[in-house]
Amino acid sequence: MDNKKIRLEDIPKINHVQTPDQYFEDLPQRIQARLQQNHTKVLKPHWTARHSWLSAGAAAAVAVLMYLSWPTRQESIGVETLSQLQTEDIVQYLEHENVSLQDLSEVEKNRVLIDSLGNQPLPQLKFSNKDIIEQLSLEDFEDVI
Amino acid sequence: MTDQELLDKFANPETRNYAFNLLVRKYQQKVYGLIRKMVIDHSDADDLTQETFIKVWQHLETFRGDSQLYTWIYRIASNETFNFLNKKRRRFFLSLDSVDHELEAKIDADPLLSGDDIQNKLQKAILRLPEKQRLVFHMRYYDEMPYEEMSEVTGTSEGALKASYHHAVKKIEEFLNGN
Repeated sequence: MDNKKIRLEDIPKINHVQTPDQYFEDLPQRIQARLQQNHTKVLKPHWTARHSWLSAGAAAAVAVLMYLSWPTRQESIGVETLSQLQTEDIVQYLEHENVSLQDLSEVEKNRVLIDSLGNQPLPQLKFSNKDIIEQLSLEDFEDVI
Repeated sequence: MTDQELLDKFANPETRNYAFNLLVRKYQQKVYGLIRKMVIDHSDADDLTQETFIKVWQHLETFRGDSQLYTWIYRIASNETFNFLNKKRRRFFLSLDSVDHELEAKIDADPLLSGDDIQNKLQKAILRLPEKQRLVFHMRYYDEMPYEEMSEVTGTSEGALKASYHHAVKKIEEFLNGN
């Protein structure tokens, strides 16, 4: 029976680690590439006059678009919302907002007054209906009429 | 090129990339070899080697020359390796034994690890060592690093390192004879 014990010094010391072909030839470039990538990530944007003008222009364009679309959106939101409400809900809301029946009747009176003018010229301004219709057509308000 | 010449060139922004490239070429095999022996898997070792050199790049300006450049790099590499192994254990809720068994299985499966039966057995015996003792064993046995330099890498006294290596050899021989 072989009782000889294995000792570490009896084992040949070999480098058992192997790497894929060209690994160490390519590694420095790969590390440099990663460093470049990290560097690019932390780069802060540098502002130039051109960037500032472009940003200001873009901000102005957004502001104009918002201004132009605002009344339309408000109106459409109002119409859509009101069309889905019950009359009872509207009356409750008006009561909650302290709009009394008297206020509502005043509005109704005004409407009656406007309707009563009919084809009469506006008394204070001395405009005939014909003048008004001509003016509206010039301003392309046929849809309103 | 000496380490001091590399450091001088690295300090100059115009030659920094060139110096770093030379530094990587000079130490990549040693760093990779140490990490690979600790984590076994090539792709893990590849990632950790890259991370090590990226940290070297980031902190080389703060290197004060209190230790040798390559022991400083080894220290970064060993910290990266221990962090990796700890994270791996936490991520999969693995015990030390589970990680070691997983690494042992990699020794059998990895086509890039060569060696006969006794070499495979030796690698498995080394994996049974606690991580820090394994690092000590690799630095002394494979890299034949003087204890003084090992002390710079690990921050442990030379006496403690000698005792650790002695115990590691004993445990390995017991494993080799017991299996």
